[in-house]
Amino acid sequence: MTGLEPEPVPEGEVPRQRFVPESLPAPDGGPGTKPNSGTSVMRVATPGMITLRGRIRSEPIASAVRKAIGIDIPEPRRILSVDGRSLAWMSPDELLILTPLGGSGSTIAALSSALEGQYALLADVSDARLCFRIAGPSSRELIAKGCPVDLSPEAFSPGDFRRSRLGQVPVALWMPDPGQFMLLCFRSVSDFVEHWLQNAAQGEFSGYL
Amino acid sequence: MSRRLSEGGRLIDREVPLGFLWNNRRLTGFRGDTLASALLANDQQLAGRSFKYHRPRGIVTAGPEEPNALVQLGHGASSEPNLRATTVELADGLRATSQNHWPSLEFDIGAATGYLAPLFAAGFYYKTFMWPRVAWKHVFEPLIRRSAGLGIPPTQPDPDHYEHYHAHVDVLVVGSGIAGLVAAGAAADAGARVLVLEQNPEFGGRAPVDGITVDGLAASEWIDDCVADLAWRDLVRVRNRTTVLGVYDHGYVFACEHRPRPNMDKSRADAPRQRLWRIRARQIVMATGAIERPLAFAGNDVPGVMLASAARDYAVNFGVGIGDRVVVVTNNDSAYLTATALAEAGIGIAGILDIRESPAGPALDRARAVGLDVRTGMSVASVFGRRQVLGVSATASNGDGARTERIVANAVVMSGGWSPSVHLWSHCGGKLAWDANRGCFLPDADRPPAGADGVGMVIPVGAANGTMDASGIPDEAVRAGREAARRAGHRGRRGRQSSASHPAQAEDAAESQPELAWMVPRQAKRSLRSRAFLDYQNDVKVTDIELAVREGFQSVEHAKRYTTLGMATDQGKLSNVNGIGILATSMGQEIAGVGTTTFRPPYTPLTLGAIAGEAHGPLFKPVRKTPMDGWHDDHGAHWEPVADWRRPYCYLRDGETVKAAINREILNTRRRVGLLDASTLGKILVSGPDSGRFLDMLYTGRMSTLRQGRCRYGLMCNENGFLIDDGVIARLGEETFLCHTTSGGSDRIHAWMEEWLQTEWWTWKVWTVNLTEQFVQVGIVGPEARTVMERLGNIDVSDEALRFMDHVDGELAGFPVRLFRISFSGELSYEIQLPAAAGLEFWTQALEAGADLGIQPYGTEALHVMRAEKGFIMIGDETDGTVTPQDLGLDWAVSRLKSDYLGKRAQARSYLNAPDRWRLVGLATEDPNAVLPDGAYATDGSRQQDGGKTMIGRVTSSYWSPTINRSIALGLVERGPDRMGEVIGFPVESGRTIRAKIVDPVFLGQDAGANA
Repeated sequence: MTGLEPEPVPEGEVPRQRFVPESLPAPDGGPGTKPNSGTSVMRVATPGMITLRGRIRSEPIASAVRKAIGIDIPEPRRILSVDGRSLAWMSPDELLILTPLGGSGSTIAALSSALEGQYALLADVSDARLCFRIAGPSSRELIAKGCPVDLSPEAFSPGDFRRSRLGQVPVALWMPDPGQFMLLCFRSVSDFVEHWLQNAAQGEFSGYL
Repeated sequence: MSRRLSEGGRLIDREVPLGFLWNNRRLTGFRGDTLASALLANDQQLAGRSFKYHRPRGIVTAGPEEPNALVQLGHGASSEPNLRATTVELADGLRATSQNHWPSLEFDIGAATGYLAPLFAAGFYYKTFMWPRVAWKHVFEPLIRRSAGLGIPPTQPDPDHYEHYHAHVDVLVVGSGIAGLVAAGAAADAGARVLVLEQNPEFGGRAPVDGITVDGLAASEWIDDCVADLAWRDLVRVRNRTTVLGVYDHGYVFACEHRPRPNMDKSRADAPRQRLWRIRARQIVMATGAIERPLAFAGNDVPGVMLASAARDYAVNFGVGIGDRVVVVTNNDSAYLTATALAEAGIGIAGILDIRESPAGPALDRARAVGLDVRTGMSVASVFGRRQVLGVSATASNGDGARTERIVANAVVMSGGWSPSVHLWSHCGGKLAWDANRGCFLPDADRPPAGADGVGMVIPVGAANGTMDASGIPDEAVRAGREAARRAGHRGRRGRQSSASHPAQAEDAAESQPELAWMVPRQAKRSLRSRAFLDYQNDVKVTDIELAVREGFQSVEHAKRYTTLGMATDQGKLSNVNGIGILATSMGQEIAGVGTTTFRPPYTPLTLGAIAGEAHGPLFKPVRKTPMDGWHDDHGAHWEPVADWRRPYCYLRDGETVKAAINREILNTRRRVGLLDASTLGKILVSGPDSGRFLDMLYTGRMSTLRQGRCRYGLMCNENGFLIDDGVIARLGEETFLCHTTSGGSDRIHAWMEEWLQTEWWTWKVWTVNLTEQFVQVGIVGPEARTVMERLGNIDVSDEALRFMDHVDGELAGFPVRLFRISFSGELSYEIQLPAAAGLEFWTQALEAGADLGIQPYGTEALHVMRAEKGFIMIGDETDGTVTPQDLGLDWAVSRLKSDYLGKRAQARSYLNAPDRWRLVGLATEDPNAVLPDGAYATDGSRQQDGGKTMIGRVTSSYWSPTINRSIALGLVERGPDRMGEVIGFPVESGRTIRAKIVDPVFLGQDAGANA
């Protein structure tokens, strides 16, 4: 999605391993709390990003955005992607528009003309945030060590988007495909977030999800 | 004489012996033992000393409610104090030591306080405050501090690691007894996501020990089947060793999981030692069981006196006999289970003293059938022995204990009935009701803790709900599980009905109807009452409660605090109900009228490590870094925290002191040119048709009249008229402004703007975006700044093209920039704003461009000194939340013509206009080399009513100025601007006073550094 150049990941979600209490005989010899099995954390190239503030559900704004980008306004807490660009719902009056790397300028130009005369604010925020990719069978568990979002597959899957917290800092996250998460944090705390993610990637996982 | 029995012990593996150290003595237990069971197996009944009287105390329970057997585990860095031996899993090489004694557990000098017990009566601690006054400081406090405290906190960093985990669930089931497992199955059948948490390593609660059968199966077999069935269902998760600690608003639940270690002294790199579960549950099924109560009789704290259920646990679970001749004393049927279980294990029962006159039922029949001596209407009058039980005197339970009969015994087991574990119900506001028939506090179904929707979020089931008879549990638990699922939004969906977790019936071996007696014998004389303990850990006796009542502490909350009943680390799990019973009896009231104290989280203590999780060391707190952070670090940055950012305080060169570096940076900037990383400044874009009007309300000055391309300095006040932020505002377009905030204020001021827009002025057409992280900002400052700018690009930076307080967009060093000509130092100064990703490259190009001109980076301290030399204020230095713009002589930045702005009304109040307010002045010390300490107070020599010195001002900023070669300071002084030239004194340490003349705050005159 959107110029993030994900490395190939396994199709679909890796089957989850179940936590089996140690006093129980495991019917199929399954594991207890599971060890880290190839879950990876890495910085990835940050997409172009634009903040749009406006009454995003109103028809004039929605149709202007559709005209400029060709994507409908996403439902609350969702992200929609078409042809390398995405719209992420940030709040009832804020969208985050993701473009291919370096593509924010042309998109802003298109949006500005489509929104001419509308009461809305556009700002290029491509440098404000940095992006991480978390991939592998335990990526949900890894993030759940510090993020209060329900990350179970029933509650969070590709198309969902959340602004939340990780450790002590604000983040936004979504799943470009079933095997991985993208996570945005503010540029100034990216060292902290990277350290946090690497720390969480070590050792065992709870095996809950 | 407690010992390992030759047979039995369903939880231990006799094939795997484990060596451990107890007070440096090598002992052996088996895998599956708790530390407590292993100690008892080694005839170690004495496990600790009590807090106040240092009385010898033994293991009294087999669970987390244990008040006595608190131990220090491990040694060195991984040592952990105050662990309950009853919940510590034995591990090979485990080291444990007992606490609260000196020099040894067996001989403790502190026990002398026991003989002085009359002096240490209830409220002793509070009475020490009263009289004589001098005694508190010199006698009582040192004494109490030395004797207080239980274990010893480790002094080295904890080598283990801890983590948090966020889980979401429809139904959280707390407890894995029959009630919890059945409820979990029923909730999952209805389609709910279920998490079952069990505090112990093994599942099943009390059922396997208490001889319960389920659908004809022994409880342990049924439980194994049921847990296996649940654990492999997609909708159900089952965790052991995880204690639910607290229930909070909206179903937020804390639980702590203990990860076992193969060896106690080895930290595990691969796994956290503890995991703090932060659970959001739609519904909580409270299947937490019940805790047996002691009986209050004289000597009920002698090691060897134990709860009947615990003695049963030790025999059945661990194959440990707590004595050879055991006296059973009870007010209900359940202790008969212990009597028969111990008898079956080959332990001699010296007699069963049942305080009831004519009890009957299957439990008694079975006891009599195996030949046990049941003596009704009898109780223990007193226990013989001090460090171990030597026997008891038996007496009529309704008498005064005068006529007694001696029974030789080496252990006593007691049962005073059962208290449902209702803690989780109470944590978030659920109310309790006293049930006189069952003799316990029960969750009041009409007053549950309510969730966000106003509906009850906790459903009690089983013994926690007062259902003591197992036969009633399956149906109740199915109903509870379905109801929890229904409330969680899973209505009527029929999943599979698993027979494994859906038993038709359960049968109990004993019914339990206690006959309440808060003190036995009921008419006990004072000599017995004063030796009958209610709260073991805090040494609260029956007579202490009675004293509290006599002294007027009759509310249950007062009596608790006065006597410290229930205030120990066990939070009164054994003692609360008995104490309330004594309180009610003393006042001649019913318990229902006395009520109960409130249970508060955590249910059991947890470690600071678990609370902190990963947040220690480098992850303790996020540090915000600018894109040039790495360059600063490579070039000698001496860091200082500024809000969450780290900024260079100064850049140290080889061998240079901090002070020398600051002076060098200041002089270089004033004489040549300096470079400042100002990226941390807040930058908030404000746009929309009403943006001018909006900023006119937020700032004290008028911003709507600002012309495009110009900047204006603005002050922001709160509704109380006090300064909260300042910064430069630039008008970018007809409807668009960029507002700079202080470094610490960017998030706060953005939130402040949004709050007003969203809650008060929601019709105003204004949008805001916080662009702080999008841009870096670099200051190029000093006489040579213009030359550097001219080398960096083609923007015309002449005085004519770019006046002071102008801004312009352009290109510098190949990057698109916004250039501001603003100054915080009095020098010629340009601030360049550009996208953050280009920040480091621009920074290094600017350094190269100015290299031959002597350009040097400067840090925050040079920045601060230079602004103070010019008398510019700093939010957070000159302001502290009680300072107005007028106090700082900033009237020029406050519009008198505007009809309103935030703070205007407050600034019209008489107090904020009082002539004697402390106002900003400069302070020139008489000795130019003396630098006033920051925050020093000036006094006028007079005294206040309370004897304190009258203070007339304080230092808000104070520095050495290398520019004018003397100390400078800013301060707030009463009527300061009216007292120019006056000399005032600042008393500092060791009786010294620094005298300073009140002067104009601008130290560096208009002619110096006037190139701005």
